Amino acid sequence: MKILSRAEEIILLAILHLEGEAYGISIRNFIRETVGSEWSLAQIYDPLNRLTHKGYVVKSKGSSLPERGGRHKCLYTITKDGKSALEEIRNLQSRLWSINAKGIKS
Amino acid sequence: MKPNQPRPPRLAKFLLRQCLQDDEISEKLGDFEEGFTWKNQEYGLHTARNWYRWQVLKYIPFYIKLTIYWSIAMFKNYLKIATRNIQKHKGYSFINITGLALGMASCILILLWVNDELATDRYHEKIDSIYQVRSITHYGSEVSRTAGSVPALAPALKAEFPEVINAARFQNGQSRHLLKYGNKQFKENCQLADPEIFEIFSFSFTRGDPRQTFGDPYVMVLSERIARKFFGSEDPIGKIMTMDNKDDFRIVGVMKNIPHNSTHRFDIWAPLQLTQKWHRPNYLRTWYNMAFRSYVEMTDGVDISAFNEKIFSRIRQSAKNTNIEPYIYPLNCVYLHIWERIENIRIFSLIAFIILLIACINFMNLATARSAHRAREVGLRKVVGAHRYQIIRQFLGESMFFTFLALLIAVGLVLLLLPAFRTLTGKPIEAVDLANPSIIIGIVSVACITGILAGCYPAFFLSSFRPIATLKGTHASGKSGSFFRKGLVFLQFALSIMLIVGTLIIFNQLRFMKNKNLGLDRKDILGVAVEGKMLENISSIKHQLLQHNGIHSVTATSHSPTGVYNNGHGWDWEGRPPNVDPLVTYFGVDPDFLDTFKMEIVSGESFPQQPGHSLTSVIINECFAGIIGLPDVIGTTISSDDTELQIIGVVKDFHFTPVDQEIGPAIVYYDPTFKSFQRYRYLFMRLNPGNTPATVSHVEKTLNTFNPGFLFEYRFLDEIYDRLYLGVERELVILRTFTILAILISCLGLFGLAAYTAERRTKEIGIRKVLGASVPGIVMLLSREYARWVVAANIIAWPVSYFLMKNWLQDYAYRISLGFPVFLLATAMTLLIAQLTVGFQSIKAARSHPSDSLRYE
Repeated sequence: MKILSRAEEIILLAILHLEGEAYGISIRNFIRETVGSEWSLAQIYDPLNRLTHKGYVVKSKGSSLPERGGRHKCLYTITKDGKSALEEIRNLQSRLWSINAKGIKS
Repeated sequence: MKPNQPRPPRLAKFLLRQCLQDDEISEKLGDFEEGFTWKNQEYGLHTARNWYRWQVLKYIPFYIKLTIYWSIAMFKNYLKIATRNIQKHKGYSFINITGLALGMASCILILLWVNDELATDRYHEKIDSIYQVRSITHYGSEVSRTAGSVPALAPALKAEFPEVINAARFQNGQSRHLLKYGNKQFKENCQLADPEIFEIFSFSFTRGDPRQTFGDPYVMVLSERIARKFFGSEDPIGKIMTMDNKDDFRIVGVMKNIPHNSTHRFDIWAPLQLTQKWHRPNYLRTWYNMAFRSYVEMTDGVDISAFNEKIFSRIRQSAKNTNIEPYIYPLNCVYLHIWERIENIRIFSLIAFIILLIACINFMNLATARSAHRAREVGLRKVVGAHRYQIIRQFLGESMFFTFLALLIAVGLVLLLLPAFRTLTGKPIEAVDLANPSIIIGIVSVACITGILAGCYPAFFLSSFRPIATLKGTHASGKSGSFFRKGLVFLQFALSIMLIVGTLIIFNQLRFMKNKNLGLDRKDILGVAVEGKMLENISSIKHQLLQHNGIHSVTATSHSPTGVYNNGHGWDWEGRPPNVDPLVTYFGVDPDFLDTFKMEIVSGESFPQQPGHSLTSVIINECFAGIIGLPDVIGTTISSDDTELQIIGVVKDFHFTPVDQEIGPAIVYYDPTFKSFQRYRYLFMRLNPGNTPATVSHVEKTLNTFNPGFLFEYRFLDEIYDRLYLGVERELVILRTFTILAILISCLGLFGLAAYTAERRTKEIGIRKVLGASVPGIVMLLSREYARWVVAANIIAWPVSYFLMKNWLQDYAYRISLGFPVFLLATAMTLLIAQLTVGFQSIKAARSHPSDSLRYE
């Protein structure tokens, strides 16, 4: 299994957290609140695209809102594969940190 | 939506929409708009709009990345499918690629030829400011335009007109001289010209100094070729060469060999002022005698027509009653327009295009005929979401792939064929010429045109398939477009027939010219030049030559009968209408001329043999007699200025210029005091058939006794005649070669189509045979399908080629008539070739056992 990139990881976690309410804008808002920086939409679509092709997320048609110009949302939900990929990256990280148990300060 | 609801910037939205696929418009446009709405509520419209623009701008690199990623992915897939198709249908691919490669190879070869033709004279750095001084001569109501000019004009132009930077004269034609250096001696052609030519034209020196060419008349410049021949590795500068055992010349320069595509080509230069020493002191100062080619170098931006008027008034200043009107003509147009090479260039370019078109038609036909093989693929691609334009792109790309594959083979073929092409065209075209940027651009554009031409119809045709029909299997395989295919076969063969007709007619015309009765017997005639001391001893030489029983008769003449270019106007006779002033050719001969050439006297008598007869007696040709128009011209006096001649005989018209030119009026004279007298320059002898080598060695021995120290050189008149038609012969060979290629490519395509038809109708043939059809019957059935169209192709081919060839023949004064047989022959040939092509497949299909074709049902 390929290792997720950081952007992919963040977005995947956002989708996991948003639980079926994940689409372009909500993901972006989530990132703004958690990471603290403003991502452009393209910066979100790029990893989203890759995640879709890898089969970690699936698209579905969502509701339409007047503030969207009446257009439908495209909702993303995480798949089983996606969850195991997140698991994988988390395990990898903790393994790597446990090897460097002394921390960075020394 | 509320009317005053804030909207995102229009341009940015438009841009974004262009970047989005259909299925993501809702999602992404919606996201952008939603983001915009929140921003608007939070920070106001201005920030929101800027935010929107900024987001769109950031989206573009992402879009580009995506596009490239997918096009590479699809390209890989297209390439894979294309190579798989080539491997799966080897025969079909072979036909396609071979056809295209042959077509493109011919195109490249013709491109090289055209490029070389167009580059003629372009090596002169000042080409755009060099002009040829030409002349319009008025006589009576007629005018003639020639490249000649009078000798006094060029120096006057240079001295008197500020817009003329420089001027130079060439003597018209080159003279052959014996050159000696040490123990080496060769006969070489020398060009006499003003030394200014080295300033005007780019005949660049490799040794010596061009300034040395001025002043001393006894100097020479050699080309590298000649310098090596005489001097080997020695430095020729300052060495002395002897001309005709008489004059000594100092070599002052060695110039680069002049390129083959040059209107002026010479290997040895000597100053024009020599002619004043050889002829008359004022030879170069006259305002008549057009035996010169003059060139002027002009300043930029001169009004040519105004200048022409100035020089016209200038010539009338010095020669009051002149009928010569000089004008200047740009050198860069001389070769193409005056020599009429542009027409050949157009014809050959057209042929190249036709061949390419035929090859493209093959590709189109086979691609559409075999569409059944690709129908499922197209259907499936469409089902999984391919746009029509993507399919079009795929098939265009595929034809490009084929084309560039074929291009590689074509370039290989060209390299392989170059030596043969060199002999064919007489042009020293080398492989390095292919590296010329304009040629490379030409080749690549040929390939692109081929790819698009060949690919566009199949691409549109294949992409139009309805996925449901193709996948359900109800798609009528190969049936669709069959009318179009037959139309293309029709066009292909129409073009082939035209090429065949053209070749046959040119061949016939050439044979006609070569075999035409010239009015004189050219067989077994041996010619030598009169030089050195031969002229003084001419009668003793003749006497001595006739001692040998191999020689039937000998005559001395002023010109070779292959080309008598000595003529004039102003002849008068009793009863001449005032507007008749023919250009009369003068041909100096001796009394044995008519006998040696076995010419026929129509009325009157030949020159009397015994000495002491009247020298003013002349013989005229039938044409002149016709112009004079009297019932009996014998005894009539014709006069010009102070000359009076009496006609004693009329000779049957004979050709004294190449056969494509009309026979004009001519005077055959035997009179050294005649005003336009030219000394004897040739000796022709009629050999008795038999031991030719012994006779030739007798001639050599005789000439050596009377004229020692000169190299013996002889030519048979037959050979000289044959060389006259070298140009047409070359054209014919080129045309024939490319015609054969065109037919070959057409047949290749027909072969592919026939194979396909036979394959498609295997079951039908099986059933027919089971029901009792005979092999010939089935062969007929299959052959008929395309034969009909080949026959129909004549409907276009005949009239078009008739008009084209009628036009071509206009240039020839004596031409064949355009008979029906040629057309019939062309049709028969095409039909035969087409039938052989189709027949092979038909017979194979017809002979197959029905059980084989029906078994798998």
